[in-house]
Amino acid sequence: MTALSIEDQLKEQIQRAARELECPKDLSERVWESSRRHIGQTSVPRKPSGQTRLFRKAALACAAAFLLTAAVIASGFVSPVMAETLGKLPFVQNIFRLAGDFGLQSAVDKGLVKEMRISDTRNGFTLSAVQVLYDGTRASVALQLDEAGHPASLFSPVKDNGIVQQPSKGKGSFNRLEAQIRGAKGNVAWVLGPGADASSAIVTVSVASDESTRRPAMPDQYTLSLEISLNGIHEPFQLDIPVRKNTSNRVLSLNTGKTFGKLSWKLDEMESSPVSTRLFLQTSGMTADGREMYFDVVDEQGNEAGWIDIYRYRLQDGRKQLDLLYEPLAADTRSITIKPFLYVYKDAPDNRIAEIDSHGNWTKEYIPELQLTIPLQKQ
Amino acid sequence: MQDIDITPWLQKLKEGDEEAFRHVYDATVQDVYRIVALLIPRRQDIEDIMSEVYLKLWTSIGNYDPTRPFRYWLHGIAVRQVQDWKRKMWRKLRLFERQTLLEIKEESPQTDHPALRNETSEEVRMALHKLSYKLRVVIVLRYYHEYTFGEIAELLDLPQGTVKSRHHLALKELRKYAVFLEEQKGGDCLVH
Repeated sequence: MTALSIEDQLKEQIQRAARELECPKDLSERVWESSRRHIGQTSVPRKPSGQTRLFRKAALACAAAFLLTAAVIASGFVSPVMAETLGKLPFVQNIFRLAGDFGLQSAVDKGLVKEMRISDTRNGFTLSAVQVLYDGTRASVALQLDEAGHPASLFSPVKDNGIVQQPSKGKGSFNRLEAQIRGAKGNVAWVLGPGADASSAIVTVSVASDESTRRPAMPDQYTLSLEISLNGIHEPFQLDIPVRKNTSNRVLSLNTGKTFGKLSWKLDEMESSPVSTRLFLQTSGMTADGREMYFDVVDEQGNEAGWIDIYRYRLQDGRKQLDLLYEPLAADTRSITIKPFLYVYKDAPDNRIAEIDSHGNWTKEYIPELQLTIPLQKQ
Repeated sequence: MQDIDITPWLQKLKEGDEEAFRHVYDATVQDVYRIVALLIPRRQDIEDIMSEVYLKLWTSIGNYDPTRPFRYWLHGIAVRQVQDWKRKMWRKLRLFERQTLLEIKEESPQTDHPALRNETSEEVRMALHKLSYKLRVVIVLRYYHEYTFGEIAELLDLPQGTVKSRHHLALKELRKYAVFLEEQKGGDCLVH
């Protein structure tokens, strides 16, 4: 028998010793609690400030700019150059139409978007919520940042290796956000997307569905509170936005799914509104190399509904529960096909780097055995 | 780290999403525990260092370059937090009564399945902890994580030559503890 080198023995024995070290549950929970407490404290505490005075100043500047804009538009003459300039002004910009997902763009066309200007001013920067849309499954808010009446750089993401990042850490750039519904953080999740330009962004807030009701715990009407920290600005901005559901949704209770090998999924419920599609779904198992399933949705014409957000959490029995939000399906959609897939990684499972396709997106590996077409009954 | 696919959560974590933090925590806690437990013997210290690691992860996720492996970046945080901790402990030794600290019984990390604990593994951990920290960290990174000397040098912010010489010294030390029973015939890695 060939003896192992000391290096091979070391590798084998240290790896075995490491495998036998298992983080005790109580220790893991204590570390989590301590970490959670600490990260809660890392946001800068808010203090009363000269918000009212600054707000009034900003509001006056806004009013002046609005009057100027209104006068130009009323004159009936808008040259192409001026039209472009006007389009860049925060007052005229329709962020949802210019930068929103397909659902937000449709919502503008259908008159479902509420225009508003709820602002908070800190250190000469004014952050405003200018548009809001709520369909019972997601609330989307268009944000606009201005510095003393001029657009400022809030969010200018770039896609690097398939991951959206914000390279700029300049003053006023987005740092972090906390969203609350009726004053509670609960299971509120959010995702930030680019706006019409660097001075704007779109934040979409959703809530995980309750396991028993299969419904997201979002009332029809509430105050959505956004606490937003921007780089270089000491105090966070606070926006309290009234939202109200103004869509009629179609809810389908389903109990269908597929199993292949160790992987399976089950779709419990699907909700369609004119602006989004929500799937309430459970998965179990994962691949031998630890990859999780994700899901694409296409209609009978092969049109793919784009992703808006995904919320996944573990159930007590080890299954995963997913709330998947997609762009809306056409009202006359006759069937949808759920296409489970895995992401493809270049390296070993524990050192993953996503493989990027020629379009700059993460490469997907579909699992045809788990694909399922679901007919949708006519309303 | 193998159990849960965390890549999609990293972007949300970069945006300050606490839910993403929980996912990343769940996916990495065993790995972080193992590296810290191999480097530090006392259980209470392990817990405190792990808290520091995750706080650091939260505050510095903006610096993470997604084109590089997340695990490697996280190990860098863990190693630096262990080093910071050691510096703090050294100051404690100077500031407080040494005797008090020496009376604290050294605890080995626990496993959830004591029956599965292997005596050889225990010996390996004991042998590791007989090494000075500077040598131990090189051995752990080299043989547990299988990093190259170049990667270890980058993680520890040391010249590669220093890493190699510490590795050589560490092997020499480990031979003394006779943990490694089999001998390699020939070469300069004989176990005596």
